[in-house]
Order: sequence, then structure tokens, then C-alpha cells
Amino acid sequence: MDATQLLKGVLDVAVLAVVEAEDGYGYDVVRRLRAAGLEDVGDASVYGTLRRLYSAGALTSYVVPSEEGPHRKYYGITDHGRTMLGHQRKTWSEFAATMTDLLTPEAAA
Amino acid sequence: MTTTVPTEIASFATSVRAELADLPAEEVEELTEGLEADLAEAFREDLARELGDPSVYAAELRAAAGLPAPVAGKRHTSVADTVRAFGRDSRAFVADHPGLDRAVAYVVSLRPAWWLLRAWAAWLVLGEVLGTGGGLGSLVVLVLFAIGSVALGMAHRPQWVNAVVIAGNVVAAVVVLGMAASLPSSLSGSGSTYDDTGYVEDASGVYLDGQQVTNVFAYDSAGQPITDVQLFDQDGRPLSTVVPGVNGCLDVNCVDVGFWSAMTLVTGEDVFNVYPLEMIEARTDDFGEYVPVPNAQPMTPAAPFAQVPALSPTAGPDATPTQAPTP
Repeated sequence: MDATQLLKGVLDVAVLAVVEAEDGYGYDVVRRLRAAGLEDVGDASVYGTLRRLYSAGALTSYVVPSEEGPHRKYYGITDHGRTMLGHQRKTWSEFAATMTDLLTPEAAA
Repeated sequence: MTTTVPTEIASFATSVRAELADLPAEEVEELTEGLEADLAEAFREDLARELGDPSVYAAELRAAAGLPAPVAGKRHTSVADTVRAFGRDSRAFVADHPGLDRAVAYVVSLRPAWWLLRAWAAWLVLGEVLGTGGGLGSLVVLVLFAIGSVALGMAHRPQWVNAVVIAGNVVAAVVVLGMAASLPSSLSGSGSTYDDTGYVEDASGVYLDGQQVTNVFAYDSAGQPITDVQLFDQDGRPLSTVVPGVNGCLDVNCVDVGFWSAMTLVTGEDVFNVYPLEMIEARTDDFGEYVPVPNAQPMTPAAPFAQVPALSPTAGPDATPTQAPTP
């Protein structure tokens, strides 16, 4: 099973969780996702996801000038985003529990 | 640390933007803002990294953002882009269809009529601004406007004059259409086309002291809650506090949200005047839209009181005549 396929379905909730922990700009979110263990996450996927969550009203954004020249666009979570994250957390833990039960030999028997 | 973006990164970012060029400019800007900075930082951290194919990168960015793939029949959201694309597409379409080509040529031949019409529109606007009525002087102005409008139509104009003329044409078209639209009502002689219907929508629903009532809880004479109560107003209209498809709060703090759920009559009709109204839990989907939770059962939002004081059995018969039918 390819982990990148699995990742596609959960990138939204992963990005929301990272941004909820602390506001971040594009590559910063990528770095934190990779540090958390999602090493195969593509940066373009993360940037696109940030943009889509922003359009959906789950994130806010603001621009911070960078010392290195080009400015950085930071994202923060909105109340709506927190509600979404709350629902998705619930969905995920239920789903994960189901899959664990299903894939654990003793439980399946 | 470098203070400039390496040229390879800059050209990569330019290529990515070019790959997204079918999207509205503001969307591209939102999607790629800070791209150079992000790429530069990624490269500093991972020196073995290579710049890939910008089209693959752009496709990934596009897919993750939920934007359409670059196909024929692209989506434009910017008005200017839409107008430009429409002009381009329709010119190409007309060129491919000789019959249409002739029709367009005919419409173009009617342009002098438009020049006169817009002169009339300009004259109307001027008359409105100056507050002048009819009269000979006013007619002279109309003729002058007509001559000027035709001269403007026939002249070869520089770009900026063209822009002013286009803006003027739009105003003239609005005035002409407005006059055309007001003709039927001026003929019928009725001036009361605009009533206060704008307020009706605001008052839809049931209100108590200016606050919207979203649900109703009924209690019987013993003070116990009763369910499935059908309510109607004095004119027999169903007393519905909500409209179908609207969501509301499942709990006091509005942590969970639900859709109001209809009850079904024996006639098969779905009604929203059966209280307490039930709700189906909703959650946001991947696109942030509320959707009902699959297989969720309708639930009744918490009642304000578990029970209320019972009615006094010695209540005067004149106060509640229907409750004490006399034999």
C-alpha cells in the first residue's frame, strides 16, 4: 500500500492541525508535516491545500515581510477551521479505530 | 544567507505561473504568492533537491487547491478576463460560421442608429442634471449631440479615447434600457411599482420580541413535555419557524450544527410545523460545506424545561372555556 495515496485523503486535517498549533507560511507547514513523519508530502500539494482551506474560510492569511527579500504569506486557523478540524478529528479517530480493529488479527477473528 | 532569489528558482516560479495562466490573475497570485521564498528555503535545507518539471509542480498545486485542470472551456472568475475571453471566443465562432458573419455585418451596419440613440441618452441625462424641460434650445442641444455622436463613431480614435467611448456607451445603454423598461409602467399609469416588499423577507419566520423563534416546545396541562404537535396560525397557515435546508445549532454553544428535519404527513407532504422540530447532525465536508452526517438519526434539540408547572385545576371556566365542555 502506498502511503502517498493515504496521505491525499488526510492532508486537509493534517494541515489544519499543524496550522492550529501555530500560524505558519507555506514551507514552514511543509517542514512541520515532514518533521511529524509525513516525509513524502509534496510541497505543491501543501500550498494548494492551504489555498483551498483559505478559500473555504478555514484559514486566514496575512503577509509578513521577510529579511531575505520576498515576503511570506502566513496562514492562521479561523473558528470555522477549528470546527472543521474538530469534526475531522472525530471522523479520523473513528475511522482509525475501525481500521485498527479490522487489521488486528485477534479482533478480526 | 542570500538576499536574492537564485535565477533558476525565479524562472521555475515564472514557468509555474505560466502553467496556471488559464486561471484568473488574482487566483494565480494567491496560489503562488511567496513561492520563490518557499522554494529558496526548501533548497537551503535540502541541497540534494532538484527543481522538477514546472508543469508537474503546477498540476499538483492546482489539484490540491481544488482548481480545474487546464482544459478547453476554462473557468474565469475575473470579470475582465471573462469579457475578454467571451470577445475572443465569439469572434472566432462568428468567423467559423458564414451565416453568423453576415448577421453580425448587418448589426454592425446599424451602428449609425446606435449613435443617434446614445446621443438621445446623453441628452436625457443632461436634461435630468440641468433640470431643463423641452423647448427649442434643448432641441438644438439634441441635434448637436447627434452630430457629435456620429462624428465620434466615424472617427479613428486613439486607445484612451476608445476606453472613454466604451464607458460612455455602457452608460448610454443603461439609460436607453431604463427608458425602455419604464415604458410599460408609464403606459399603465401605475406609480406604485415599488412597495416595501424588501422588508417582507426580513420578517420571514416567527419572532418573539424581535428575536427569531427557531423551535417550539409544548407542555400538556400536567406540565409534561409533549411531542409531535402540529401548529397553525389564526389563518390556518402552518406555523413554521424554519425554511427547509437551513441549518441551526444542535447545542447551546453551537459546537455541533444540524439541518432541521421535516415530518411527513399521511398525504406525503413534508412539513416543518411539527414541534419540537428535530434536527439531523451536519458536518463540514472537504469543501467546507455543511452536509448531513451519513446515517444520522433525527434528534430533538434540548428542551428549555424538563417540565413546567401544571395547570391549576381550579382555573376559571371563563378563562379556558374549551377545556371544560359543559354537557
